Amino acid sequence: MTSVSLHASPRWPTVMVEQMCSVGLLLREGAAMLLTAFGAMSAIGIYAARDARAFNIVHPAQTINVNLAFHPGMSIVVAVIGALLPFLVWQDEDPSRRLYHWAMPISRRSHSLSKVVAGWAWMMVVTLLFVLTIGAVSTIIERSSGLAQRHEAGFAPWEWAVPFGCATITYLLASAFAVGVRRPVIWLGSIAAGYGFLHFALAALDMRNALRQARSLVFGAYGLFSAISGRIYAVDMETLVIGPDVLTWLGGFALWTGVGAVLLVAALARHVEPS
Amino acid sequence: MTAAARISTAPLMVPSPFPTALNGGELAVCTTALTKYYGWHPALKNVGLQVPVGSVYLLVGPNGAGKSTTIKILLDMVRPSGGAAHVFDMNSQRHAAVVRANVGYVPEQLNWGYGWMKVGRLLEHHSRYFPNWDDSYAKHLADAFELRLDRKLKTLSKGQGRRVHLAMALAHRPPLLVLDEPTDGLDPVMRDDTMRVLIDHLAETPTTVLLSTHHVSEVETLADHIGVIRNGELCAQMPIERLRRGLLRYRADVPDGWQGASLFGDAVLRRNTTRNEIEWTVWGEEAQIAGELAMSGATVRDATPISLHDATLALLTPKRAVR
Repeated sequence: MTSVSLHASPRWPTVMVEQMCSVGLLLREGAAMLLTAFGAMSAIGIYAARDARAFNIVHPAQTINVNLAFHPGMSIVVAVIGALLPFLVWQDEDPSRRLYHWAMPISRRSHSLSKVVAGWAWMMVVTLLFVLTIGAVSTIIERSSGLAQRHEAGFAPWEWAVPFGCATITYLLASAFAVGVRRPVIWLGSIAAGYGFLHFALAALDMRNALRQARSLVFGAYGLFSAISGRIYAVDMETLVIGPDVLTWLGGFALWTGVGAVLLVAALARHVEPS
Repeated sequence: MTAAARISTAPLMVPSPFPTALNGGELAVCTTALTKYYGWHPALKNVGLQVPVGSVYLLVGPNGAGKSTTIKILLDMVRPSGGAAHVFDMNSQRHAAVVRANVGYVPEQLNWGYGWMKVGRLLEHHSRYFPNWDDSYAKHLADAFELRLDRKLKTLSKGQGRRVHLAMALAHRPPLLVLDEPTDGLDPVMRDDTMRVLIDHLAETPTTVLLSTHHVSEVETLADHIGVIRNGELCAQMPIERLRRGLLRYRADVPDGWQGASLFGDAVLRRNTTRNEIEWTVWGEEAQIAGELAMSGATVRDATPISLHDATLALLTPKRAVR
C-alpha cells in the first residue's frame, strides 16, 4: 500500500449530469436549427389550413382538408434525427482521437456510456418537442380554421409511443457505429449496400424463401421498418399491410433495441489505441 | 504470433553499463518488463521504470524512443504487449480510473477533441471529474498562464493549448504529474513562467513528477532522477546526483606518442583529443579512471561534473557504451 494520500474518482451521477450539460451545449446550434425547422413547418401547416378554409368557403362543394393529426408514420422524422445525432455527439472524436474523453478518471466504458445516455436523453427531448409541436399545430388548425383533425381509422393511444421507440432504435444503432468504428458512415453504407446486393442476388437467383427471410429482416412484422414506423409491414413478398398490434410492435421494438444495445456494448468494449 | 512469442524470439539484449534500477524507497511509478509492439515493431523492450515518491523524474530520449508510449501505458491509453505498469501500487490497467484520478497529465499531442468548447467551460467541465479541484488555484493558474477563457479550444495556438492543459493538470493538485513535453510550443518567456509556476506548485503541494522533455537545461535544477530511454530500452536510470558523480569530464595532458587512446573502450562517451591534451567524458569511478589515466602516462588536470544537458547528450549517443 502506498503512503500517498490518494484522490477519489468522481461519482457517476456527477459525470452523468456534466455529460448532459456538455452534450446539450454541443447540440445547441443543431437544436436551434431544428426548432426553426419545426417552427417553419408548423407555420406552413397553419398557413395551408387557413388557405384551405378560404377555399372551402368559396367552393363549398369541393371541400379540402389539411389533416395534421398525429400519425405514427411521422416518426420517420425523428428516426432520421436519431440516426444523425450520434455523429454530432461524437463529432471530431473518432475512436483514435478520443484521448481527452479517455484521460478522464472514470472507466472508459462508463464514460462513453454516459455520453451516449446524455445524447439519448436529449433525443427524447427532441422527440417530445416534435410530438408536442404536432399536437399543438393540429389543435391550432382545428380551432382557427375549423378543419377536423382526426386520427386515421384504427389509431390506438399506444401509437403515441412509436416516435420515442423509433428514435431510440435509430439512435442506438447509429451510436454503436459512432462509438466503435473510425469511419461509421462507410460501415453503415456498406451494410446497406450489402443488404441491397443480397436482396438483388436472391431475387435474380429466384431463391424465394431466402428472399422472404431477407425481406422480413426489414419489412417483416418484427422488421426494422415496422419497428420504426409502427405502421407498415409486409405479410408476404408483395403485400404491405397497415398496423401491427401493440404486442407485435413492442416485440419489434424490443428486438431492434436489443440489437442496438448489443452492438453498443461491443463498441464500448473496444480498445482503440490513439493514432 | 502472440506478443509473448515475439518477445521470446527477440535477440538477447546487452546489459546496460549504467544503473537501470534504483535501490529501495517507495515508488510512485513502477513498470516491470514493460514491452509494447506496434505490429512487428518493438516500441518498448522490457522497460523497468522506477519513479520514487516525491521525486522529479526526468525521462529523456530521442524522438520515437518510447517515452510517450510508456506514459500512455501508465494511463491505460495504450495497452502493453507484455509486462505491467503500476502507479501508487495500483495496476494501471485494472485500476485505470483511480490511477487517472491521481494523475495530472499534459499530453504531447494536443489534438484531443472538445475543440468546440470554450476554455472557461472546459476548465469547468474538467473540474467536475476531479473532486479535489481547487477553484481558486485554477483561477490563479488561468491568470498565471494568461488563459483567454472566452476562446474556443480549436482556435488556440499550440502554446496556448499547452497552457490550458497545464492548468487542467495542476488545478486538482494530483499526487502525480505526468508531463509530456510540457513546454513544447511555448515562447521563451512563457517557458520561463511555466517553470516558475511548476516550481511554486511543487513547493506548495507534495507531488511526484514524471517529466519528459527535450529542453533538459530548463529542468536542471528541478529534476532529481533521470531515466534514459533509447530505441525502446531503458539504458540508464539513476538519481541525478549519482549521474553527476559517475559521469565526469576528464582533462589531462598526454605526452607525445601517447598510447592510451583505446583506454576504457566505449565507457568514454565523448572524446576530444588534441596532440598533447585529452578531454574525455567517461562513466565510472573517478579514482579508478584517474588512476588508469595516470598509469598510461597522462597527467590528469581535473575531473569535473558536466551539466545535465551535456550528460543527457552523452548518454543519448547512438554508440553503445560498454565498458
